[in-house]
Amino acid sequence: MKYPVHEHGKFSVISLTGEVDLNCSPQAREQILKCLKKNNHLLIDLSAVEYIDSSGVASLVEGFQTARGQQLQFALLGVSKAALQVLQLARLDKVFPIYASIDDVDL
Amino acid sequence: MRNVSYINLDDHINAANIPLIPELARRFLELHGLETIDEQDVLSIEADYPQFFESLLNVINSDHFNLTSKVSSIYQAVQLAGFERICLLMICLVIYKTFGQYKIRGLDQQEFWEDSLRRAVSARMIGETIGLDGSRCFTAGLMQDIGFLLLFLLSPNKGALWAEFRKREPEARYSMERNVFNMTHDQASELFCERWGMLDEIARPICNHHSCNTAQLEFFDEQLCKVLHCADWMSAVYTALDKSFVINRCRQILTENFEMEPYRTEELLAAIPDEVDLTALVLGIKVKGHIEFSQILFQANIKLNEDNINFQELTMRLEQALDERDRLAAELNRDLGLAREIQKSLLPPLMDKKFPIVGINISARDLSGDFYDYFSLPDGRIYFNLGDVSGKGVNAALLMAKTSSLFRCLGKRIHDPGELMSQINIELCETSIHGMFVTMIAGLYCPKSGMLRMVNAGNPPALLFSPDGLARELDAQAPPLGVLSEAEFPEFELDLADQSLYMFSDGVTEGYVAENEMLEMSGLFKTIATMEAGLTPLQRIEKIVDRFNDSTVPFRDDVTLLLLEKQ
Repeated sequence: MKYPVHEHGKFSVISLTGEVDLNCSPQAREQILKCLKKNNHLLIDLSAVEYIDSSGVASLVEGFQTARGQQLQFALLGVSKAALQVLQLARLDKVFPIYASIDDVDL
Repeated sequence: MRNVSYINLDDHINAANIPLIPELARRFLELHGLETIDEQDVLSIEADYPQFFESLLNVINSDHFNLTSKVSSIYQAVQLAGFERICLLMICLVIYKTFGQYKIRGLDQQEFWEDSLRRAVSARMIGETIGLDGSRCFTAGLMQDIGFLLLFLLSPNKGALWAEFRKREPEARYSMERNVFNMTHDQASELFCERWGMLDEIARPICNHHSCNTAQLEFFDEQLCKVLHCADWMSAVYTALDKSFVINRCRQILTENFEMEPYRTEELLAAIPDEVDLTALVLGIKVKGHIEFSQILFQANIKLNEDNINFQELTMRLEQALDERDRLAAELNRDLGLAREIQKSLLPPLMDKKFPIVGINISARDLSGDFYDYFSLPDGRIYFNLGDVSGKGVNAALLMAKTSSLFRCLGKRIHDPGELMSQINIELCETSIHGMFVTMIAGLYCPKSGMLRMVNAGNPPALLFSPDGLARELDAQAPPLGVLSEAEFPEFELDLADQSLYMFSDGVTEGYVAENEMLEMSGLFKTIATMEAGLTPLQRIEKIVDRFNDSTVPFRDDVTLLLLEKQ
């Protein structure tokens, strides 16, 4: 699966969709790291995510850690209820910057 | 005739360079179409070119031409055999003599004419078998690839490729022509036929023998086209490298086009060498050598044997590869078995009944990403943990081993759960890879006082059940380990008293109890709350795991449970 990427201001926005599990998270990881390699600030749109497992969360964590190492912004956008539950349960909602919509992001 | 206007000539090919039709042939062809052939006209041409017409008369009077009686002039021959038949024979000789005078480096003209003769005799034999005029088939067969010679004539620098072309079967050669000359030989033949004003009944089949089924042709032309197409393949039997393939193709197309039995095809193929020798002698065309069809069959069998040997070799290699795969799989299984053993050794043994903690771990795969541990400190307090590494497989198992070892090693000197978690977190963040993280509940329990200090780092909440059935969730207060190096790990302290503390990985609440039905937190609550009295702690956590036995859905995630209560 190839996730769509578009540019918005200084950010690249990757939209993850459906089930981000052990099968799909390698592609998500690849696209996240590809954008960061280009030194792009990154927003991950999770509004269409129906399920995310720990491998999917690990892709986000790796993106987050890599972005921090490069002094780039990394945030989650419009996190779906299913994804938010997982993040909240693991207290990762306190780790990732989360925005309800693109309008809330300081572009 | 096909429209030639679309032909795209490359830099080397210039239609103006096509040899002009010799005067004698032009004059002879002009007679075609006249209602009656005037003897004086024929005699006039014959008188101007005595040498050529003498050799033509020799051919006409040979047994090969099969006239009912000998003739002494071309006009007589026309009277006996008809103008068209004599005209076609004249064209054959003129083309041979005209093109034969050109020397092209790399191209062996003798080989070309030998191949052309094979096509010609093949066409004549097929034609006679199906009731077409043999002479016309012969002439068309001799001329059908004249465009091929023309391509080399107009691009002499490509002569070195002749041998490569000759090894190929007709379709492969046709495709190579496109790449090398940007033109095919039937297209070149069109240029030739136009420039020479060739008889339409010969030109049409020559220019369409590679597109018999797509060109709009009259029945007779279409039949002749098919004859030429088959003759092309029959000739290739003697020159192409892959003889078994070409022979099979001949059998196939002769059956398809003319319902010819395969044995009959082989008879025609076998007759080609003698027919070529005879015709070459009559027409004065030099040929290189005589190859019997039996030799060709022998070579084809060798090729078949080679293919067979290649197939056997391929099979052998495949078997070797499968053996190697099995060997590697067995090796991997051995390694996995060893890893599983090592991993199990990282889990603590079941303690006696007085020990307040029991645990259970069921792996969804060979190796688990979940773990738990407990051990006593010299002062009698007990450290315990339950963790879950993100992801699955070997990498998760390795991180599990690392985290578990860090916990046991550092826990022996850091008697402060929050600080211990912080140190493990820093260590994991420093060596973080692929964003992998570990959710963990860790605590320090004092059996004497019943006091418990505990940290929940990103793990599902622990459930604290009191004897009256009331339950409380102890949510995570910190993110998982390995995510944020500066993260803080606040402890909460409570008096366990006679309460039971259930800790579990997310594989428990996400485990399936029926098709499309997960246990979830509510199901776990209910399972614990409704357990019959008198069960041991181990029996109780086994009861929870039993919930998954009714489901046909296999474990998707590791299932780990830990139960702490005062004994």
